[in-house]
Amino acid sequence: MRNASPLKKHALALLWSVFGLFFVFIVVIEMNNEGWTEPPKKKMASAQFDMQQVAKPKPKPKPKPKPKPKKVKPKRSAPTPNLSSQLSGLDTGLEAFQADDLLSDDALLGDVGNDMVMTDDTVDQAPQPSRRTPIEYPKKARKMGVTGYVLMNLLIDKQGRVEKVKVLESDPADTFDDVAVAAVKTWEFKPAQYQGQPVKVWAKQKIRFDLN
Amino acid sequence: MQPALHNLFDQFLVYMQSGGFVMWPLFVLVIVLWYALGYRFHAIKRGSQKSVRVLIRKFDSGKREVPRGLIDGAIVDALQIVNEGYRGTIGRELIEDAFFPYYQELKKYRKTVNTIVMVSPLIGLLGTVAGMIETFDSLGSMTLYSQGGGIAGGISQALFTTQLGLVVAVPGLVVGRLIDRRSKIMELELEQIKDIVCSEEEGK
Repeated sequence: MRNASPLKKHALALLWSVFGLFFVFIVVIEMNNEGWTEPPKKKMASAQFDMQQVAKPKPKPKPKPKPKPKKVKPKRSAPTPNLSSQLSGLDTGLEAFQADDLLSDDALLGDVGNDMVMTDDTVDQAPQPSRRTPIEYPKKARKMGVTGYVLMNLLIDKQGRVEKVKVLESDPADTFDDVAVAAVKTWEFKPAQYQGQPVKVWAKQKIRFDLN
Repeated sequence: MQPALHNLFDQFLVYMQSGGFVMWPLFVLVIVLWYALGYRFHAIKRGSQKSVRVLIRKFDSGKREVPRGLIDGAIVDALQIVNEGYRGTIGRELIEDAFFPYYQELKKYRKTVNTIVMVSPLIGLLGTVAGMIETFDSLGSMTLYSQGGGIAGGISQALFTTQLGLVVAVPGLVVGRLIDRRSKIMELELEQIKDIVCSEEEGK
């Protein structure tokens, strides 16, 4: 073999690999760079929903429509066929179909709503904690003077017990999670209400750990 | 310069984090791919640009002696064998043996490049699937905005991995094809050298 020495080729190849690495990642980062402001790792944007009772404007009492006696026109001749009647079909004279009638009728809906899981912004009445157990401040954190919070999502069943707990956010991460989750699992709630019925619901609960 | 570079590195880390577990294998694949491409680029050097016939004449008459590239080297090797007195079938076989390392050099890392180019979009796709799973998980458990996850995390994971997979594959594909073409031509030229050297010597 009379060619460039293998060592030299490998060294050059290494240089190329560094080049390729920079090339690929600079391309990729530049691609995503539009509107880059700051690394989001500092604080993840979190959306919070505050329950607010929005005063609903009361519907004005509608003036009662005057009952119009329908005049039955004796039809002598067949209607002249025109385009619109062909497109829309014949008028059978039945009343319009109304979805309201269906919804108000429980029998039609059946058990559909029974196992539904809702969120705390879709229910009529959000769940309220009825029994809270005290939470023990972690000793290590207390010693070091760490404060923070844990935001959790709780699945509260129809009896008001906590079925599942998921940690959404915590600060500082992982410090208070276990304590908070363990405590919240023993809590009891007044179940959420939807249309007068208790329903299963996902609700957010924040627990603050403060030293005083 | 320093803060700009630092910022870039920060962005890189954030990018790698948002893509999930698929990003680091892709990172390794980028290094291997460009190493292989670089090696092939430097290994497959023809030497002089003149045609094979002209080169053989020049080396034979002693006008040139120092080979500069792969083809030059092959010609020098072949002429050496012929000048030692090996002719005909035996000479041809000896030349073939002598050319074996050249063929190997032409093929080195070709499979590696092709494999990585094929596989990296698939790995990106795997990341996409993982991201979609995370998205639907968070839909199911209503943890839509959880730290380092949730819908936004899942979707960004889904998109970034595919993007990286494609950005790794496409330049590799193009550059790899260009180098492949060069190596194919040189393989043909090696055959040509064999033919010319053997036939000329037989004809003498």
